[in-house]
Amino acid sequence: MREELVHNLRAVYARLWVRIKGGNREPEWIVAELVIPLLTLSAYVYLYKMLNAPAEFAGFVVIGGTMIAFWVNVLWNMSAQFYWEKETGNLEIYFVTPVSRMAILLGMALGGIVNTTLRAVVILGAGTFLFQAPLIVNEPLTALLMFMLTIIALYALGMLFASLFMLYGREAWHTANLLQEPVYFFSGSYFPLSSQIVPYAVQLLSSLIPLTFGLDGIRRVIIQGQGIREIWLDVVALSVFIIILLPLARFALNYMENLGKKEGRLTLRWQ
Amino acid sequence: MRTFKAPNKPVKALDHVSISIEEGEIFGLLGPNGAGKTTLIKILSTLLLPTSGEAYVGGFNVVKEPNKVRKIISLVSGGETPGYGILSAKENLWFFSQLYGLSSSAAKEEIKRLITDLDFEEYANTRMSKLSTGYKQRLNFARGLLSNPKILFLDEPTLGLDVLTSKKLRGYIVDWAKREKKGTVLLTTHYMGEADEMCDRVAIIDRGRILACDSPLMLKEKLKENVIMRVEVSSVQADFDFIDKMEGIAGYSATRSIQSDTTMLKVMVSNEATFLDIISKLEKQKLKILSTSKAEPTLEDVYISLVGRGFEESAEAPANA
Amino acid sequence: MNTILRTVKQAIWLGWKVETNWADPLIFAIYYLIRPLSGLLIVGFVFLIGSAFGAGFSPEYFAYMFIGNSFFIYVVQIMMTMSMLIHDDRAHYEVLKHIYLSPGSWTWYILGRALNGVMNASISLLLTLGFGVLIFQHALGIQIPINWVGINFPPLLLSLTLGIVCFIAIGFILCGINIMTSKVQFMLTDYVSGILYLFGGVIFVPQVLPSWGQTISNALPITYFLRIIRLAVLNMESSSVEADLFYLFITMIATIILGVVVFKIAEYKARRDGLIDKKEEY
Repeated sequence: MREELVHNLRAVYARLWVRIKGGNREPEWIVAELVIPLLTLSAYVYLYKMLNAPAEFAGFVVIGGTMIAFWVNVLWNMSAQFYWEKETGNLEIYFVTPVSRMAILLGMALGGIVNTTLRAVVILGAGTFLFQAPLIVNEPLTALLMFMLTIIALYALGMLFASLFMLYGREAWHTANLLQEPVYFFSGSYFPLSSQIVPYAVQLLSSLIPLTFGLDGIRRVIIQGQGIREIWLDVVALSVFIIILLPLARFALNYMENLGKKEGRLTLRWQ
Repeated sequence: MRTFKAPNKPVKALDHVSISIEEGEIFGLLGPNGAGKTTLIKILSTLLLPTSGEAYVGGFNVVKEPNKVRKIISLVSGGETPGYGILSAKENLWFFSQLYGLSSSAAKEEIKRLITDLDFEEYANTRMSKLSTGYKQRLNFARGLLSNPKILFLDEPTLGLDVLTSKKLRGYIVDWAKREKKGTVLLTTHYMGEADEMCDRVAIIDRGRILACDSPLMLKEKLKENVIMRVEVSSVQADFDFIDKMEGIAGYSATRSIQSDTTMLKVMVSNEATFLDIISKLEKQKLKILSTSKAEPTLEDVYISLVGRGFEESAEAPANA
Repeated sequence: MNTILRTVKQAIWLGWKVETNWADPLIFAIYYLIRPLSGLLIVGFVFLIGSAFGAGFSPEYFAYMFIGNSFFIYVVQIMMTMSMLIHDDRAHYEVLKHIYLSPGSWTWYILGRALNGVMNASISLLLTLGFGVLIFQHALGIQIPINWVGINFPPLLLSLTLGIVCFIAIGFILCGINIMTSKVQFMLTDYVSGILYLFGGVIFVPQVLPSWGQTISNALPITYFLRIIRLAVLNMESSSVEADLFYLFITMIATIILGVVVFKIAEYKARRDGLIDKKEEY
């Protein structure tokens, strides 16, 4: 039991190490992951400026743009990852080794979190500085709690998607593409979902996305200076997501692996 | 048994395959493309479920005890080089060592030894994406041997490699299996020479069925009752179907060379008189006979005698095999 | 001439097939509607909410944003098609060298693929406009001051033509870069469309930008492209139309020259360094 745990922890560390090493070896990628989000969020900040919206909206957009970096990472470096591993011939090796698949996914998730957090801090800093976004850090521990819960929920969702996408070919890639802008919209990445202008149906659908609660909670803490008492609903919602998604991801992984082995699609490439 | 669903009709990739491999044996599975070799290896390495039947590796059931199987096996496939291009050869090996639970210090030692044995120290710190095909495959072999597996599955391991690299890797595996680690090897290949050189026993497989299984020597011995003749003719377009209709023919293969515009026919006949008949029929087709010779039986001849045709004439693999 | 036309036609056909071949047609349809529509909805709601907290709703500014964001689809689609083309055909499908060696030159093939991108963008534009109007005007009751039957087509078509030629020329620059290096191929679309989106007066007037930003804006073809399209769609008179057309024409010429130069350099380098069938590093 202990030996198995140590074995799986080694696998987690190894996969995390690969993600961190690989993700930081190409300066082009680092620059792109910093500059491109800044371009997009700048456009929305200037739109709010043109409309003479209050300065808080700049902070709103900066936080949204920062957290989107995590969602993009979840989509492309988690959800689509097993698909990429299959294309490059690594998936076969993973499935032949005596290591837990969840350990591999966990390593990928942790590596992604480390890399993206580094980028996110730079984007947040640059955005705040460029647009003089008024951010308040009265409750740093609450902010950190919200951030951690959001990340865990997002990456748990990423693990679930990774299992589902494992067997699919280009559909996986198209589906990952499809989950970009719609999620930005429904999670209120650039506008407050609580506004009366947003139809109830949109708000309802938004509550199915962990990012919605994460963004709401982090913004309330950092822009409006609210504390844990005010954001308890966001904390509970994210906790529920985590409790549901993690076991679901494990179940989906086992199910999809068996399905793949039955149908012979586990190592079928270039579908 | 393993059946794949297909739009028109199901494809039987493996049909009542039953083999048993002894511990310490190098066992070859020889057959043309689409015979079912890779399908069998995927079942035994727990990547694929059989449609029916049972398989045991190292005493463990591949369906019910896959994790126990995975602890004692390793898989090296030819034509593929798993790993991360952005990492160096050494870094890739370290990563894979952790998937097998090796401590970093043990992994370091093992990696150093394998890199030396497989002769790619010069490229140990080179990014995998920059390695040539030959060195990538050496890396692939090193990865497969890192965990000191009891059973090594080699799926067309020298596919696409040059002659020297292939020879080196084959020699290494035989050494590893016989002298060093006393491991068991299941090798799939469509290179006759490879099976002949490396294997203690060979099973010939075609269209999902095992046609024969014995040592290479014994398989060839069984052909001694036939005479194997080679004849080279001056055309790639000639029709040789008439040979099938003749009596006294155990089988034949035709290897066409567009470059030299010649065809090398290899026929297995019951006596030399039948061969003279063939020569006369070829001359009637106005074909120039460039050379004739008697040949020693090879594993391909064994295949031809079982199937009636050579590897080149064999049908294409089903899509999922 | 026949070879050129045949190459272009085959490339358009191939582009269409590749975009729909492996994916479910439903996913294809969603891909060309949902992503751009979501983008429009995001900007639309930012606008509505920003207006509510700010200076109040302005239908003219809403129309400005609505038209700009919708027609920006041409930029995104053409850039994406052309920047991924080299990766797809060289590393994924491994057909690039065969296309290069075929009698119809690869320039016409790339042009054909770009025209397929234009086709896809046009489909996407019509769908997005249609659903955009349905959602904002009919579902949310937002007044969009566009008289769809009163559009001034001549300047619209002229601007579309010149603008699309511009974007295709920029696409050739991206192709050229991707031929020479595979390190930035997955980011180029985002870089180019990000810069054009920010500085091109797509969703906000360039006057909001700092002065250096406005200078950049005045040098970009998209600024004039969208300005003329807005005037045409809103059927507004303006003394600056001729000037805008002129600047669009000038920037188009400049991008064509740059595109040809970069692509030719890339082709030379590709032959010199063996890049036409270079395997990519993963």
